[in-house]
Amino acid sequence: MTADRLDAEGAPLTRLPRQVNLAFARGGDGTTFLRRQHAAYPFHVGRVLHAAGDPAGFATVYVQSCAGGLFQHERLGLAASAGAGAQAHLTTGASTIVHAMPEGEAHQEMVLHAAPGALLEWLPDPLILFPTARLDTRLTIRAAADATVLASEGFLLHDPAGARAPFHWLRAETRVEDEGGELLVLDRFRVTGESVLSGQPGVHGPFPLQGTLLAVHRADPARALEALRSSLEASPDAWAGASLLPNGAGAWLRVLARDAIALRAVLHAAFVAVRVLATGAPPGPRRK
Amino acid sequence: MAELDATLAALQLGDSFFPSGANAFSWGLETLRNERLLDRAGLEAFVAGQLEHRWAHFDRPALLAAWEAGDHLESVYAIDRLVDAATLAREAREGARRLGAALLKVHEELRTPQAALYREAVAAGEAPGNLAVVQGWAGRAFGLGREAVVALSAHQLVTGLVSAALRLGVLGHVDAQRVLLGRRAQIAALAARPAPPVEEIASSAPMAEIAMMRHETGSGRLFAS
Repeated sequence: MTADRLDAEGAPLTRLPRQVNLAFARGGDGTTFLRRQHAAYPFHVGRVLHAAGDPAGFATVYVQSCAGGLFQHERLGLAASAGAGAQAHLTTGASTIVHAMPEGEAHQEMVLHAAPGALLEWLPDPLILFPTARLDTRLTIRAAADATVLASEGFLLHDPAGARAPFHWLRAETRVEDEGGELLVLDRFRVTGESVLSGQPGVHGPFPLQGTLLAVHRADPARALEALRSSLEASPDAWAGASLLPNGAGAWLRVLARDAIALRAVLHAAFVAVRVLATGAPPGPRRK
Repeated sequence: MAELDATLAALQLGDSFFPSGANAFSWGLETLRNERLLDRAGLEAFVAGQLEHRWAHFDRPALLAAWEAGDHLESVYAIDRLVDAATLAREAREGARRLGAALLKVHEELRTPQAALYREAVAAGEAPGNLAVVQGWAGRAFGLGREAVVALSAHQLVTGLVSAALRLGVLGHVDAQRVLLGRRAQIAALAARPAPPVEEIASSAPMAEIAMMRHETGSGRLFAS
């Protein structure tokens, strides 16, 4: 990866235009603040909040869409970087609806960059895929060897007409790179609404909903795995597993679920467990 | 004669008598059976799902890219590293590496050209030695054409799964052959579609993947995945 493909923060560039560009930094008093903040339509970025219960100086920021979801032909790019030692939690206010797409498709890309010693969390609510939705979503994580990045993604299905009509397709790609841009992890899947609803054993079986949480924690992947495993509880409505990522990048968890409540419960428990590993304390409650 | 020779090469590599080590892996079947998420009725659909949602977009482009790279080993190693980075569940990754290593060892002993070099690269950590990549690369070095390596890879995936199912008591010998027969048309149809470039490999069978992740901590295991 050559220098001309990096931005001023040292983060890899998005392939799509950036509507959101955030740079967190750690101030002299240890407080994480937004050193740079750019947000263009359809996004609104809230001010930096401190969630009660979070460590001192830990920043929480909500990224919200004013458009009411993702529509066909949209191409949205977001980037967030955490400077050395910064600690930030980035989330959405609610699930993003991926609307019906009679002809086109939508593209969304997120780039996360964590400098040495940083903790960066990107935990958006799961996407809600409406009938005929087509979405290509990409996430690139570039992390220093002693940084921690938590990132989740997930999808639910909803048919406002109540007919259980499926989305067209979802293509998702997550890349984890080291500080030099060397590829450590590539998670890519392509599903159709029909395949997730088919009940086919080994594919989705009886669980159409899916979620993933990556804990990029190169300093101690085994402890990250231990944290994720400790968060797993037996449930008739969710089926999940955790494992070590390739190339010593950390650990990850994938969950299939019958409903949104079960999906969110597994992802939240996993987030809490990794947060305890990273900061020594569970996160404070967040308003949604 | 050349065609007969290639057929004989494929038969030799595809024979269960060939010491590939593939029988140690169930690729998630053991966990799915133990957790009552798979029965005899669902077995063929499971196999079909692995072919369509994993093999066609993951193993197949990887082995074709390795076949095409031929004796340009640096390119083969780059494909190998990409496939390893894209195999997220530890047991799937380690299984693919173990089977690739076993296959490379046999090829070195059979004096397949450059197999010794590839093994050295694996030992040096330069290449992980994933099964699909080694299969494609070694298949060509052993005299197989593109179609034959694709057929061999699909055949070994399906026989590996039915053989595990057989030993798990999910189905009997004749049923196993029925699954093999039943999947032939699907394999031909999938193989007829253009393979995505290796940079676009995708794996979309999360239930089997999660099964392998859960298998890591399972007790009383018969298989290595």
